Amino acid sequence: MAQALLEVEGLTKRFGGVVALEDVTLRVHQGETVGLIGPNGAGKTTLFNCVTGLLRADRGAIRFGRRNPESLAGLAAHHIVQRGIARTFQNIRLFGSMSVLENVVLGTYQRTHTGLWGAALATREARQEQQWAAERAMELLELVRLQDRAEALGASLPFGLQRRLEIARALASDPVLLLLDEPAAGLNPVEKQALLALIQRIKAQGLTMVLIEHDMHVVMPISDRVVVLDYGKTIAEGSAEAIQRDARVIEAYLGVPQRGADAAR
Amino acid sequence: MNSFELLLQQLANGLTLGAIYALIALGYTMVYGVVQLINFAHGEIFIAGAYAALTVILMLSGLALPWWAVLGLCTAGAVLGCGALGWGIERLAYRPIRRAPRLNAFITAIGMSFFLQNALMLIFGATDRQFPTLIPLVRWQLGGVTLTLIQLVIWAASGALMIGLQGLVMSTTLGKAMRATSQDLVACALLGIPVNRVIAITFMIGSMLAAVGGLLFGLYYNTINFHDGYLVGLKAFTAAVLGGIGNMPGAMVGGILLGLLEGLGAGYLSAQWKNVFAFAILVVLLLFKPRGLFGERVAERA
Ligand SMILES: Nc1ncnc2c1ncn2[C@@H]1O[C@H](COP(=O)(O)OP(=O)(O)OP(=O)(O)O)[C@@H](O)[C@H]1O
Ligand SMILES: [Mg+2]
Repeated sequence: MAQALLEVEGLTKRFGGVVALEDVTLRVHQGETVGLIGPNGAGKTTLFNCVTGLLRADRGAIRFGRRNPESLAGLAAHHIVQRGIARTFQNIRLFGSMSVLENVVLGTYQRTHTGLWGAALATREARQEQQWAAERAMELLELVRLQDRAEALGASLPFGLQRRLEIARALASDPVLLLLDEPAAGLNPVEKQALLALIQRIKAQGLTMVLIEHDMHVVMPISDRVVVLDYGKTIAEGSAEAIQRDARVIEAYLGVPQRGADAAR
Repeated sequence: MNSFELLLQQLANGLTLGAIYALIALGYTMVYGVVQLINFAHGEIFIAGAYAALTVILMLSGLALPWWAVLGLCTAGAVLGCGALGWGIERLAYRPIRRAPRLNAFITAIGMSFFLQNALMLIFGATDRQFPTLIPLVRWQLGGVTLTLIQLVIWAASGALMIGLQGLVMSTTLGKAMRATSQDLVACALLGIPVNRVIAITFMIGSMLAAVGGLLFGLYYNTINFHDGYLVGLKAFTAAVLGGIGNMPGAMVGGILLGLLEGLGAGYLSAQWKNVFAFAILVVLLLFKPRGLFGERVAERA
């Protein structure tokens, strides 16, 4: 099998007595879209938090990279972004009192070189880079169909558009791997379809993705492979069809009546 | 002097004081914006700026340089010295406890303030120090109102700094990063923004503004004492709260407003009661507007 782009091995994370992740192994290959599903509290978000450097795992390894995979252990969050991993959040974390455009421009930060002091002194290079960043941000706003709202404040957007803005902001760092944490949660069916189309467009550009999602109508059509977590453990892994037939999954997850998470938002 | 001229005179004096308060208040509010911490040591940074400027002036006194050269060099000395001081305080005292409970940070800030007060007293002495006039004593008589060159310098310098700061914060990448950090530090880090550096730079810029405030204070009053750090710092903090802590235009308006109120209080009530006057205004305002004049921001952090 080809070398994986992201390799999570034996990852364990505890919060006091709660074992959020237990010996989790996950491989994501270049160009692949992996659906990550599992009931509430299964550890999905915790896995993203460990990969992106927000949390330190208690045990296990995380390696990332196309040619020479590099361990991400101990790297600060902003250094992990530089390696090419971007993410969105389950509970949207936009900069609400900044404009839509500014939100995306900030996402380009790690692709610029002048640094904070250069920016403060408004050197020629810094100004050119700002120009570039604004153009790049507008391209991404077009991709997520928000170009007409560029000057609006982040917080003023309706919920569904905020989710799109968060995706644009994550893409602005030009990632190799995009981690989407329940991007469809709280969207109505029409918005969900539009989001699905957006993710398809991103996928068509060749980006590798891991998608946490409860709604099977979203997960199934775009995932090349689905991984199921339950109580911090990987309980199944396979094609979307196989997963839907897997007895353990049905018991742990699909058998459970639709949870209130979506309705609650 | 008729009563209208007296009013104008007090307003001019108050505006001068207010400009200095505003420069210092900005530091409180900027730091609060990014780390939700009241940097109680900020008043000491302000007076350290005055001492640093004085030190440079004394060092240059034998050289017979023109006054504007001395002014430029002592400004540079104060700004660089306080920038380094602010950076050091953040790095050594506040960063290690950033994730600790609020109370720890609060106590650390108070401790830092005491530490610096005592350090300044030991280094520069407990008695008043004479601060050279530097700027020529030019005065204009406009009707019954007297304006001095030093007043104009203070207005111009603080006005220019505030406009420059506003430009920096609103339109440069650094400013965007500062605003974003104040809204969501974690989301910022996950965009690749080095938030620790953003916070350190915010401390430095706030301290540099306070340094200019310290220098202007020395030039205006011609005498400085380490105690001034505490009292003026407290007033500037009051100004920041008045404008709504965390809100930069609020700090500017709050500073000016407090200066004007103090000027009026000193002119019409009693100069001895002007401090009480300022704080009474604050208490009354906070009763009706608990977040200050422009403080619409509530902690939005998850
Ligand atoms: N920072 C934290 N501190 C303490 N416990 C946590 C923390 N983060 C997560 N947990 C716990 O770890 C477990 C896994 O949580 P996680 O958020 O990863 O689940 P999830 O699969 O994303 O669930 P959901 O579908 O509800 O988003 C839960 O029991 C949760 O309460
Ligand atoms: Mg989750």
